[in-house]
Amino acid sequence: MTTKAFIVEDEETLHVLYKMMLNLIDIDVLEFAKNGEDAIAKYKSFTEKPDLILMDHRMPIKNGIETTKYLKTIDSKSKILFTSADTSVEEEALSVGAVGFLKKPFGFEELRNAILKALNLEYQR
Amino acid sequence: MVNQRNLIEKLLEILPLGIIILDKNGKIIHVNSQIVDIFQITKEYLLKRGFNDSYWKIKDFTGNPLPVNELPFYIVKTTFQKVVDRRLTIEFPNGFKKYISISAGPLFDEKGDFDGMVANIADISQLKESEEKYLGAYNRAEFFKDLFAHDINNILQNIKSANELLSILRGKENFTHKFEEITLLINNQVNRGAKLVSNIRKLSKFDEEQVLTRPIDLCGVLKESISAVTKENFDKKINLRVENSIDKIFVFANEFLLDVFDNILHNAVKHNSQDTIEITIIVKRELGRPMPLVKIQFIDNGIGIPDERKQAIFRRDFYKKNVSREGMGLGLSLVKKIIESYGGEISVENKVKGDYTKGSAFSILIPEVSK
Repeated sequence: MTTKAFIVEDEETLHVLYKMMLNLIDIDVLEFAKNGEDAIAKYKSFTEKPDLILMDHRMPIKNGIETTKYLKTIDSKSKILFTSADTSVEEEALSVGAVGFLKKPFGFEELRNAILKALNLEYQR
Repeated sequence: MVNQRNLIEKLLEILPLGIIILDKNGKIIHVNSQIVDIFQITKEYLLKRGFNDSYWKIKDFTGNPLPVNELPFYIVKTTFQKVVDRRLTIEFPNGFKKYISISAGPLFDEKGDFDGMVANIADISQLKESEEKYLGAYNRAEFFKDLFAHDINNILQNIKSANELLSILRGKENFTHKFEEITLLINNQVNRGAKLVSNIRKLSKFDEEQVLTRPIDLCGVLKESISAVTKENFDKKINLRVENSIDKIFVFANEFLLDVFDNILHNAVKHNSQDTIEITIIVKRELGRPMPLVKIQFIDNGIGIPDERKQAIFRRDFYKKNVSREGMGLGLSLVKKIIESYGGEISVENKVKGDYTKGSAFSILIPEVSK
């Protein structure tokens, strides 16, 4: 079964680039969201939940931390990997349930390793 | 004895500090001329008044009211201890305000009984102004540093990912098609970086100096902006309509007016999840005093702005840890600065009353050049 990702990111250009990179490691993109509120609405509507969420922090309306907190209340098993330039929230992101934190700008290898680690983390439990 | 008294009075007059002497009840019995210079009140007016006279208000250094038991003379009078370098704000009914540093101590008679108080007062208003200026500059620098670091990292992320993809995809199927897409994307990110630098420069310029205005053809600038934003977003379906009852209208503005329109239109496109982006621009005359005004409205069907964030989007300092920073932050704070420098104003409302999710309506008012 193909791994599916949900991309929460206000940078539209990164939607295109993340999709291309994820496809290279056989991950399909289920959906995109441009802000936290959009992400929550879309997540609730999914019939099939994503295996992984790539989450930016600084976004309009609702930031990554607030969104993660909310998503964790409706699905505690969701695997959220932060992708942000704002390292000041790294500790908090992990404390609210993120499985990892990738500091922008990161490379393809870093992304791939972080995703594999995030998915394995769940597998080991 | 007379000589001694004269000598002391002369000494008090040549000191660079204000000297004030109070009796044991806290009434002013002597001030030197430096006190008169600092507070710009005559000696006669000061003498016999109490240190806590209702004519002046004594506040702390940040301007908050100070309880009586924290006033320096009250402390000296009740504890017989000296008070050193207490920084205070003194306000007078006419709005005149001074920032001072006061050091006060008790006076005792031959028997050792408390007999009054003496204090020196230094005017540190200039120091306070410098501190505020420095703090403002520091906050600005922190803001720009944070904003620049965040936005530039996003730009770098785009370029880094795009570059790596070019290497990985080279020689693979459909490479030519993807090559064009990715190189265009890199080019856009470079332009975005240049715009970010330019915006920060402009914003910083508005902080530091007054920018001059001249009569500018508003419709011409608007047309230029629409053309640029439409071209930049050629891959999106945009339905842009201009309702304009005026052919030519001149406003007091400058070259930054183009940045205003660019920012608002760019946001209307960027923060929009609809298949077709609808933007309506309405330009009309409004009554205004002392001069007529032009109102320009930008109504979109974007994601909208919740009520609690409507003011915040125009501020530069609203983002804090754990609080969402709008992607529109720098752009709209720059827009507000520019509009205010024209003597105008900017506001935002919901497109549909009571439902922000249907889109936003930005309104700008700028003074028109009288015919």
